[in-house]
Amino acid sequence: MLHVLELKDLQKTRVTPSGQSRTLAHKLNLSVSAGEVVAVLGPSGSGKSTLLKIIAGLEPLDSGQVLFGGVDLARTPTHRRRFALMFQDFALFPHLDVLGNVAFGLIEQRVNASQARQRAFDMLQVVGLAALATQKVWTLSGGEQQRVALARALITQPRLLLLDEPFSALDAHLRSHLREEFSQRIESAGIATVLVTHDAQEARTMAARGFQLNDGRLTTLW
Amino acid sequence: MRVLSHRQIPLQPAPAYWLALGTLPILFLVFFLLAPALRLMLEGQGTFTPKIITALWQDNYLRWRLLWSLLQAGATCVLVLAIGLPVAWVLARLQFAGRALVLRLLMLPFIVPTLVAALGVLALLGPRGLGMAWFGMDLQDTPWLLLYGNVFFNLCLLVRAGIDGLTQVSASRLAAARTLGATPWRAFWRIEWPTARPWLASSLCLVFLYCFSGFGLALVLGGQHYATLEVEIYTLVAYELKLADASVLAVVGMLVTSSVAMLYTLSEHRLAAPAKSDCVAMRRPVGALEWAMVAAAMTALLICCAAPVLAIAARALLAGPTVWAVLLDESTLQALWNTLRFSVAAVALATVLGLTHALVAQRSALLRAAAYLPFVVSPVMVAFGLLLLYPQWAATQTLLISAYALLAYPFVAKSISAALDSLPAHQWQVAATLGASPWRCFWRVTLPFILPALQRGMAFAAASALGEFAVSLFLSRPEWTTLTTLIYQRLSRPGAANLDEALVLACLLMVLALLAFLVLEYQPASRKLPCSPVSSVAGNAARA
Repeated sequence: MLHVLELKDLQKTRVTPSGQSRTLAHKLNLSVSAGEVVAVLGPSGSGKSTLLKIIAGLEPLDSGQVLFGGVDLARTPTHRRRFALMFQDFALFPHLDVLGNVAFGLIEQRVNASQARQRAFDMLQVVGLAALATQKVWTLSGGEQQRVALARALITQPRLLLLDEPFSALDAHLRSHLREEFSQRIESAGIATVLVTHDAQEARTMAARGFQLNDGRLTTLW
Repeated sequence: MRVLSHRQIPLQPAPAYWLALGTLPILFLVFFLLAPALRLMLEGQGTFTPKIITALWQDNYLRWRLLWSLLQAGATCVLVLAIGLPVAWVLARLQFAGRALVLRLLMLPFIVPTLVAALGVLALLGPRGLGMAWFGMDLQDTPWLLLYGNVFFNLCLLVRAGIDGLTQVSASRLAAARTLGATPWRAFWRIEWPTARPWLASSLCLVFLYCFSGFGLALVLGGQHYATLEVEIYTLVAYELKLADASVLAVVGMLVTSSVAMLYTLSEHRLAAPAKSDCVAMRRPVGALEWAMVAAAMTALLICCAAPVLAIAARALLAGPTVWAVLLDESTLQALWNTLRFSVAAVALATVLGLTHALVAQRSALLRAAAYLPFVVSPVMVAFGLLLLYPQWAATQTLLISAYALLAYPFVAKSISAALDSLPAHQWQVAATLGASPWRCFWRVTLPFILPALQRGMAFAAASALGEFAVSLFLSRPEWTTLTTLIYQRLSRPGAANLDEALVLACLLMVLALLAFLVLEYQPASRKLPCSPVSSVAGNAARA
């Protein structure tokens, strides 16, 4: 299978405030194929989120390579990578309404504002939130915010989806419901996805392959 | 001071970008603050010897000036802590009708210009004040006038800090203490007080700084005997032309203020990341004792913070229509025009400086601390240093407006820094992954988020510029008289009519400051965010 994302010999060490050195990635290798969902599990502080930020270009590497479609991304800044990152706190923009949040990425792609808003509205219809288009994001429930974050991420047709504990802020019932919904939408969009979580059940439900991150090393779980 | 590691954005704008951005505030600080301060020290270099220090100490007059400056600042700290802590507790713990309004009114002393406050105290307790008329009480030539003025200005600062500190108290810890047998009084001292103490200590440093380096209040309320070091420096420069002596005193003053500022910076560091825990829920007062506490707190605020402002209004209204005609005098209109144009120019410059400083300070602990520098060097010392260093520009608008901006821009910088601290890193990280370049991230995510803080900083900067007094006295020309200097001119002339006119002018200045504050701070409901990113730091900075 053709690998779209390849991480080669990633090395990342961080010095903690107490002065100790912690290895977050040690000669780390990972590849993700087109349309594949890969899960990375690990305890808190193991470096899972840092791994996603490295892929997104938000954290610098000590050494190693992040390749996408065979191209080294070392000189590609975050905003030109076309990867979408979703955080567990959703990171919705509080000064924009629901529609403004979903249209954000399109406007950055220089799509005409009215066209961007129309496409955002269409996307909101897909995720069932069209009625809330003009609402402020903080008035939405956790599940609704989650859907807005997904709509915002998917509308730009990213080349890679990076999910950082996307369901951990939700209650158990909503979590299992949205997990299925997310899986379907990601599958239908055919986007390669890296899911970071500490929930093994969630990882098994969503991902074709799973890895454990410990002391900067990945071990295959399934 | 700590720089938040998660804000270090290695792949965001290149170092050259930040260097370019930081050049403006750094150069401004160097030219208009550090170099004049250095010049001030060099002026006194020849005379600043152990022998001179000993001579200064042996001079009864100057020793008293220094001791009194320290004493009144220390006494004010004790007074505001004794009055402010119970008031803060009431406002932090008890919910009662009008509480929200009281919290808003706590901003009032931050807006009132120094000279207006001084006049308020005189209108209340001066020789022809309401206190004299009603109770035969004249406190002229006593230390109480200055101490009262200091309390007026600083009580709200401590109350706000106290509320901030008390809201950090963990409800579960308090409950645990009570179940372990602590009475409410013991629980306060063993749980609430230790939690709130860093906030109170930090604000007390500011109170001390402000009182020690205050000029307007001490000049008007101190009289001959209770004037402070700052007033003495002004007298030596403006009336006796003893620049070397003045510079020796200025260096002594700077040593004191920089030591306290260092303490403040250290104490603020401890507040950099307040741990929001399970807050103690507010409740309605229960029983006569708690209602009495509410009444006592409101009375304390009324006497200490509202009375001088009300006294000005009352005295001005009682003065009669002939006195109000002063508002139409040519000199008043000219002063009003000067005040407005200088303030607008200063706020514009302060906004640019404050914004760039705050943005760069996110990446440099040193620059973050540098925002406090204009607080360390008092307005009198700034003006005196500028006068010594740039005598050829002494009476130019560039220097005057730059000095105004220097004293106003820390309000903008501190306010925005606090907002930037509370901006979640995830916000711009998501924006970047959605295709926004660093500049677009700033424009579309950061700026809307910090806008309320920017507005608030500008509002404080405007209040500072409108009420600026010391700099105007040193660096202004007669034709550039501002409202503050016009008020001071009226006060310097004998006669009740002049005092009444000064009170009417003070009313005008107060209304102007209030209007500027309200206009600049206004936010339409559609733009309000769920939680304001503005922390009390803005308020603290405002009073510094």
